[in-house]
Amino acid sequence: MDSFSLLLSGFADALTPANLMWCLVGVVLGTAVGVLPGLGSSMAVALLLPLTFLLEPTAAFIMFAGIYYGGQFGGATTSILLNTPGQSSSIATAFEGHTMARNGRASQALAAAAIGSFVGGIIATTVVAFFAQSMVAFALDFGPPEYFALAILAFASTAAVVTSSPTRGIAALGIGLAVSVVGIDSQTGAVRMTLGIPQLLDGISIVILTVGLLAVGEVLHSGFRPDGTAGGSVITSGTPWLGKTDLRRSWLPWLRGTLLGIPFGAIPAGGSEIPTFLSYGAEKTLARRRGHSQFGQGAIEGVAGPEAANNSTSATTMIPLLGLGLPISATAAVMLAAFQQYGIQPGPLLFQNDADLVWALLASMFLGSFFLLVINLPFAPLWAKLLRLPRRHLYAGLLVFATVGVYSAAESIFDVVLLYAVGALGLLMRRYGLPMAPVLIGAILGPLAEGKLRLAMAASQGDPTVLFDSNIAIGVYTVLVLIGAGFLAKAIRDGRRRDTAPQDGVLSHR
Amino acid sequence: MTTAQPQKNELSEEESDSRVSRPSSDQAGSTLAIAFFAGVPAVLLLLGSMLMRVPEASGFLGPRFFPVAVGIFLMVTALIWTAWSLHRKRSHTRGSIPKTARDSTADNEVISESDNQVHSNWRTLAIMATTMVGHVVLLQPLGWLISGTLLFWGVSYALDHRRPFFDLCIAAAMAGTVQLAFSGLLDIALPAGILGKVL
Repeated sequence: MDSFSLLLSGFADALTPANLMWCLVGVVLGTAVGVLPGLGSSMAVALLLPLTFLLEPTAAFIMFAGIYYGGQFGGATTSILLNTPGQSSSIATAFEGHTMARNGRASQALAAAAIGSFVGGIIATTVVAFFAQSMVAFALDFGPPEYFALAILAFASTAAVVTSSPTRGIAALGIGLAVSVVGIDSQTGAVRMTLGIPQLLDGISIVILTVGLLAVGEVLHSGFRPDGTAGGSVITSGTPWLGKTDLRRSWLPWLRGTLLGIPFGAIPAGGSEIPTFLSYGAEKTLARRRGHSQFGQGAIEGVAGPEAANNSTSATTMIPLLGLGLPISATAAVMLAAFQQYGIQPGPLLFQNDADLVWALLASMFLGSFFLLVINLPFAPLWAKLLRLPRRHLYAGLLVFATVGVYSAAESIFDVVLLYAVGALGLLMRRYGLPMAPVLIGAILGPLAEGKLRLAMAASQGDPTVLFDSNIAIGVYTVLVLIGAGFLAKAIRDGRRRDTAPQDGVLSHR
Repeated sequence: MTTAQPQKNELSEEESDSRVSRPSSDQAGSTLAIAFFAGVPAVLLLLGSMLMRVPEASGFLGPRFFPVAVGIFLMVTALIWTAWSLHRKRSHTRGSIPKTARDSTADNEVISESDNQVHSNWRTLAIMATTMVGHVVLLQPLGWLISGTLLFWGVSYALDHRRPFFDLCIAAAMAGTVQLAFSGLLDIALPAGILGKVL
């Protein structure tokens, strides 16, 4: 119970009125920046970093924790209301959450997200506080083959589980992977697929891809809808608060999402995209199995699970950051920079050398989760009122925010051009029924998969058996085979049904 | 328009993909489009890999390996989709309802629309595209306030052109608010353009 008393002393540091205020300021600012499309939590932390340097270290990190959680939740708000995830970890939330908003259940979606974030944040922070040191040891076991296996699992599960049409999902995944190789190859410095455009040397930013495909594509597509021409129409925001049914449907996804998210923060495997999509896929499969799946019509499970997973991963990202000095997400990378600014070196010795700071930070992560809930739950119906804006203004505002968000990230007009081009691609993909999620997953995890594969092969002098040379990797591939087998069984079953009812189930036929 | 009716069409793209477009997905046009989506990046990747300058010491599985692998993957996908769509086409010509063939542009929403609406869709899209190109071109010379106003106004005008002056006021207010928020609170400079010289 040593950790417990240390945590209590952390709370003693964090609970001073001044520190409470900094945490609150952080949550509010973080939410505000996170709500802007294209400015996710990493952007919020980066933008507000200079502000925190005015404070002494403990207060600065307390504010940081607030910004971090606030930014995470702000991303969920825009995902749900505007179908515009500010960051990749909110993409899964957008699928069902935005449908819910369109069905007049925006407040419920926001509340499910807020409580999910709270549950995920609190449980995961508890895990961090008590198990950080032993989880660091586990994370150290992960080598290139294990990461590669995880990436492959993520590809397969997004292409097959998340999207309902696997054949289209595979094509979309390939497009995402193709995008991921644009730019300078990090291992050899070779210039790849830039078409001679110097601005593409750094590759295509995930922010541009996400905002372009989801937000700009949506704005352009709005013109193609029969109702899009009637720009004066509004979406009702509906009754506020979660009903009993919603709570009953949400609490298990919250816990499952949290459990899925926790390990992914600890292992450096590309942030919270994998657990959010896994959680989304798991909830969808479970709902289908229960027989009354509302996925596609605004299933609250599809918001509750991914949001809990997202926040629990964000919390456990602190484990490798604090314990190994290894930043997993862009946000963690900014936080690492902040640590260094104060002359603090995260690593195995941090828990001994700067114990006061670490425990105050962990305590403020609890407080940040709490503030997030207190601030955002009452505001959920208020945010949902955003949907009462005339649709033409909503879409126009969306495009303006997407543009200005992407422009301001690098102050580059080329990025805006790229954003619009990606938006045009998004429009075409929507018209031909290609799913967006696999593109984003391919682009995000492509570099991880490629890098780890090449590292593993280099280490083994080209012997591919190295990829299967560990229990963790074999475990991951076993899961993969199981998913594949289940999928094949379903395809065969559908195929049989198709034989009896020839009009149905065309896509599952291959 | 009230909200009840459009909601039916606006399922998330994942679901609408399976749910609504399933009847249309057996049309050759749609499947060919997907073959195209996979085929173009495949060709780009394979050509790009061939033309790539690879450094001398690039170790095992150099920078070419992954793009080529993805390129082949996409090419196979494209070929399967092409074969599949041609197969569908043939079985369609053998015995099916000619009406579905006419709708082969494939999008589920478009099917229910009259030609007039399709026409207005293209008009909406054309105005939006012009607005966006204009914004990119004018952002630097005219500054954010003017080009941002135009961006907002153009899109809202494209979607509904009944109250252009009201929209213009909203657009100007919006661009101004964004300018204030970004330069005042976040300390990010948006292009000032010609107004910067005047003010």
